[in-house]
Amino acid sequence: MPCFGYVSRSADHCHRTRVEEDIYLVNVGLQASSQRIALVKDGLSFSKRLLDELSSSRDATVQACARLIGSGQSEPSVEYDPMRNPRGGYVGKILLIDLGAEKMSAEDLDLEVARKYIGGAGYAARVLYDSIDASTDPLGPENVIIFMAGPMVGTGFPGTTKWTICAKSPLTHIWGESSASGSFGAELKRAGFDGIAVSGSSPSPVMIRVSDGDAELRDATGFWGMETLATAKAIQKELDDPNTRVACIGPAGERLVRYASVVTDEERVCGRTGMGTVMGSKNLKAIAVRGTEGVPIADERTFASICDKARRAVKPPNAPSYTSDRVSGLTAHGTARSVESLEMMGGLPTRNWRQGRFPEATKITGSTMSKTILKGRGMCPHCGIIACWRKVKVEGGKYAPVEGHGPEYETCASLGSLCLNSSLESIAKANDICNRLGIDTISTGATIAFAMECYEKGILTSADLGGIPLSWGNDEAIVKVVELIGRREGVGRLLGEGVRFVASTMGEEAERLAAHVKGLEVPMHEPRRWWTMSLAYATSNRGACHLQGTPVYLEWGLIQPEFGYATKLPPFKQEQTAQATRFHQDFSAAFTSMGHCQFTIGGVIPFNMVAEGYSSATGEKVDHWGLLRKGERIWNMKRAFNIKMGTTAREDTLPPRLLEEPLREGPAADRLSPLNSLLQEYYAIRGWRDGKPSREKLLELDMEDIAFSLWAE
Amino acid sequence: MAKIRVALAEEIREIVGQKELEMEIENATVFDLVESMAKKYGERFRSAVFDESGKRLRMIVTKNNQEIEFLQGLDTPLKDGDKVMLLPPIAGG
Repeated sequence: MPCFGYVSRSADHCHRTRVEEDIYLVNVGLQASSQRIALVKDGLSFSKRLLDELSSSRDATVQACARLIGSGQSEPSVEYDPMRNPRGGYVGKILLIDLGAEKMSAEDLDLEVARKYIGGAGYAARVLYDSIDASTDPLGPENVIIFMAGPMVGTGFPGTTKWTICAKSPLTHIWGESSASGSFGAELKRAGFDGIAVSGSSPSPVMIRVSDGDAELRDATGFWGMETLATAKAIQKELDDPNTRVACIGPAGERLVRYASVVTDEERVCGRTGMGTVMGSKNLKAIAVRGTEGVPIADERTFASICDKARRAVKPPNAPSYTSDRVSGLTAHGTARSVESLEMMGGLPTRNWRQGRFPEATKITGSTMSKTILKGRGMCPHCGIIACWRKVKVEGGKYAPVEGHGPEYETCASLGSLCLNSSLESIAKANDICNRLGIDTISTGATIAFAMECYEKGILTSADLGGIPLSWGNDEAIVKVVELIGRREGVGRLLGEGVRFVASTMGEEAERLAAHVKGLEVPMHEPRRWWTMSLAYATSNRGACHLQGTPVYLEWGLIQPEFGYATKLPPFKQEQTAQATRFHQDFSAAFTSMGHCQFTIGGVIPFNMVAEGYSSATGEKVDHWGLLRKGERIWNMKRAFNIKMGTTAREDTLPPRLLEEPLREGPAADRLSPLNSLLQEYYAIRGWRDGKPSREKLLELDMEDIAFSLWAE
Repeated sequence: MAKIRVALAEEIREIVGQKELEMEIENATVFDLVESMAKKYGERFRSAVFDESGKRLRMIVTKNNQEIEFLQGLDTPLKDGDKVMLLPPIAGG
């Protein structure tokens, strides 16, 4: 049987060779052929017969086949069924739902979009660019929310659990995106879909149920008002299936708190940018998925071998110590392990960013958690490497009972040091409330810290706060306010709008205290200490974001020799910062769209090995530079989306405190990031003009349609 | 003899039993300091700080807030009053 592979080219050439073009034509032609159904049913053994039948045709597909067969350019080492799975990894279908019209349909995955933008958020960005514009109300029926799982999700490659939700954000009014780990993404694909796109809004609460290629809308009135984990359990009970995976909102999303999250039955969270709010605006309470199909793999034998190689690569004696130590540290103490180290390096966000050092950091660090409230560890399916889940229990004291997922680093900082709070139990309690009511812990903590400083300065009074003395370090007040935000009651009605809006109602002094970029509250990596993060925050497509590009990893020693980053980046040096930031953003755009967890990527599994896994899973041969190229395209696609929403270079900045007020102690004392010159260098490296991707850059990236759209005269 | 202030984090702090301490050493480099601490605090300290080769450090080590990779590495000289930090690698976010 003839076998076809997709030959990759280096990152410098996006055009296809004649052979690649012929392979592509064959795939497209076979897909369009009425023989498709027969192949899906009958499988691989009929491929040859089909080609024989087609050989008598004058169709361009057949001519391409003949050239391939005659030239011997097919690749016998890569075998896949081009009809059922034009690519492995993808299942090939997107579920479209219009909640207002109560209509559903299954459409084919657009292969060209998938080739260019990989999947996940990359694919969603291209789709949403066409669906949404500056006038789209993020909370209106015209907003489209897309749930996607990239091609590596569900394949079994270590660490491929990340799925994503994208929409126009109601918090920032620009690109909204949030990822979570766990089983939901893989189950969605097993249920027959790479993604679900939801438009319109329902007149009453509904949930979507997807099961082995079928989908239905179900009444969710009975779940409305329930907390997230209770909702998930109730849905599993109603469907009589504890293995159904559920992603849902809590009261916060229902009541349109602007940074409402989406939480799964495994308590994994799509936290940032208010994706739960968009669901709430559509009266969409939950999505339940259950599937029994496997995720197709193009070359199963090679893929299995690479997966095994990847697992061995991260452990001694194969792994360098910076890899194995990172892995073992995360397993032992979770992400909160780094609270103390970052504090001692002068980079722990403290007291609404007035300080980088918190003397009581030891009380809220990962090893303290391990000795006190930690009851267990866990890992995502198909991780097999890190096991960073923390399971905590608070059994005594004023915050009991608490039982569930423990706080991550970001939460320990945002609800801890940022608020001068050293009570780990209160942080665990607040984290638990955030997860159950469905709000983002970073935005919540950042907004409370802002409110604390406003209270200190008399901008907010006790009366404004409903009598709550929101003073620095008052852990009881923090827990109370978190609950009010999650329920959008009392002062939570205001604070639930996010720090940018709240500050705008209070005047210029408050606006100087509000730490956000483009409306998204700044996460817990101090940009005055790590200059790469100053540029990353200023330019990230979500707003201040530590995940879409985490170039500080290169300053921490999570080096990537496969991309030329063989040594740690020195701190406080302008040179290399812009290029390193650009690299990490493109890199992150690629691997997140594929479905990889960042803890297994970037100084852990070498990316050239990841590329081998991608190639054997999908059948598309591409090396790590080729994936980086796709990531660059995805980055520019999201930027184009934001430009369409009205973003300009003026918004590529930092909040006043981080831009103008240096820290007073630690290595960053009396230093500020040279952000303006970093930005100019960054734009030049990216081929952008005044913050906008140039026409030439877009053409170079094979984005002619976007070039035409952005630069139409 | 030079008096060096040492600050420790996480598991290395727990092995030593203190967050901060003072070590007295003579004509020392960073390597000498860490080696003398390994002799004092035993194999747990040694394996937490050095990798399998016994010559490279697993930890982030700073002298007066500068990481030693950007100074003279393990040969970075120490003098009276210097402050050295030993921190586990940073991970997560």
